[in-house]
Amino acid sequence: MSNYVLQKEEFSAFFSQVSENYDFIAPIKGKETSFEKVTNDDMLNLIEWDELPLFPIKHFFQPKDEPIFKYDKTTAKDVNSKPRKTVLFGLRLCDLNAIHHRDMALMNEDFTDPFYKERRENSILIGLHCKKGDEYCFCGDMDLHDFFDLMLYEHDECFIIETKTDKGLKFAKKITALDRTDKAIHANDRITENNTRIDKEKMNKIADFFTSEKWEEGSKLCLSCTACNMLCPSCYCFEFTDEPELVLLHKGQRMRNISSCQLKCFTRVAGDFVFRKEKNDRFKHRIYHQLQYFKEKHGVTLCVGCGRCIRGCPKRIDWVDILNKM
Amino acid sequence: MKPKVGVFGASGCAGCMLSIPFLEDEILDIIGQVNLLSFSLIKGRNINDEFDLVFFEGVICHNDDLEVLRKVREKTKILVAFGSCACTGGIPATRNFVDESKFNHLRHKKMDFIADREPMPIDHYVDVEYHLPGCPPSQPEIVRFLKQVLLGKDFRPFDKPVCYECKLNRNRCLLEDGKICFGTLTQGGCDAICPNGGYECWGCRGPAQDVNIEEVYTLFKDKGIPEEQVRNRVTTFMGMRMKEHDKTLKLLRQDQTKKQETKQEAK
Repeated sequence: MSNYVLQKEEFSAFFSQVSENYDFIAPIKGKETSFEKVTNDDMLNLIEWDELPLFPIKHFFQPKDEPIFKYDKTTAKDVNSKPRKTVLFGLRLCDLNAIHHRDMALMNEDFTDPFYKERRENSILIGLHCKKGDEYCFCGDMDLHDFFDLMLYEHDECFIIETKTDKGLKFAKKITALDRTDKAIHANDRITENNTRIDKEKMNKIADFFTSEKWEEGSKLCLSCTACNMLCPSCYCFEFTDEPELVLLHKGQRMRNISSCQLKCFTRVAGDFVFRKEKNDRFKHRIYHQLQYFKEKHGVTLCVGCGRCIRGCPKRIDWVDILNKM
Repeated sequence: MKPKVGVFGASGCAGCMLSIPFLEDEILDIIGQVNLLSFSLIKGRNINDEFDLVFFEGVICHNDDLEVLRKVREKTKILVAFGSCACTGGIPATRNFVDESKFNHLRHKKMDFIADREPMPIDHYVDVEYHLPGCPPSQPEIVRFLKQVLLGKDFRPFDKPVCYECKLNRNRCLLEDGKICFGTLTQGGCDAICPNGGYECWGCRGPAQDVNIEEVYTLFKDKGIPEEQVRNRVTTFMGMRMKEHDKTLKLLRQDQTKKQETKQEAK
């Protein structure tokens, strides 16, 4: 597919053209970098170009609590949710692959999450090539795929933009700030430095280590704060609650909330029985879901190697290090 | 039949009670749904009726409090410990972790009829059906609780820590700035209201279900914060609920009883 070029000085024009028809979400610097909606030109100066944002784009696809349906005694009614067309800008390859993995889980042959599907169909994924990893990430070990609509590679004066999908190409054609170019993406452009850290051999053999006592080293430090789950771009587990109305109690809506496997409440079932009582079991469950269980089902690891679970952990529990030492 | 509801308070600042009339959007609907028999901030105080639901605020720290509590308990189907003081002893219970000599001079010496006793959460004395913690309790949670009770359902307390909501609100972790934040220790449900505003969590909602207090102490130690400072802050709201603090409490009590004994002997 053809490549495009965006001059850096035209970025503001690019933004104003995009924001005519789309919401524009980009990594915005603040006390902590996170993906926020860009509403004016001034916010463009706050875009984080270099470092991986601590907060992933997850909240766009999986809000804190979202209504699934409305009920009235015995009848249920769909919730009208028409997501606006959105451009998700500045996603790194790890974030993009996390969306790819989320697609596998939530939009497959057996099951399609209509809310997720609608959001995905109305969003355009614009990647930003990551030049250098940080001390926690290890995406180079995780066999990531080129999964994006458009991908920006930064050069001195401009961005060379690679298009990957028809959706991305259609979008690029509409935006006049983007010009077609014959320049190809060089192998040099695709390099990401300092992004390997995990012992791949051990990662592939992780099933053998399930009974290892070494996991205790990590789990005994765990504070059960759920930061690892909340910061993970690919964790997608959820739970449901009912929210009745106050005056007409038989009416209400069912809400979907994000859940966390690091807590006892995650496995609490009828009779107040908890089947993953030990902290060590919960600690292992997250890692095994990421590296083994998902792979058994979908052929790839759920983990994308962004390292946020370690970077955002108050105790910096480095499970990669623990695994490497197995 | 509308449920008969009462709101009572023992020793406290009445701030938790106030958070009910401050539910400005919902208060009229709530009043319409229940038969409010007693609420000293809105109408008269009426302790002799029978109640389906009672919100009980405050800490038990003298004999009159205990009398009211026991009387209310006898006539109530669902008793709710309402607010930090009723749930965990709150700030008044900090006294239990301080040597008597440090606060003795503050007592009302000329008013012996104020027979004070060790401040205790209400479930130390009577059985309590539900806890709605917080200083003051979270207003959305009050409404959520009321809905469940009106539906005749069991109310499930929020079972995740403050960090869960704080992270979902995309706040910068205050621990990274070296602040003494107890988000990891504390039961959530408050939408991380303090960290949202940049203030550290003091743990007013009591301990979360999966607390790892030892590692929290080492976490602060590694950051160079004196352990005593952290311990003192834990006792502000959660001392009476931390098993780990029981030892301190016991030692202090032994110490005090010894002192009293020696005083009496001297007399």
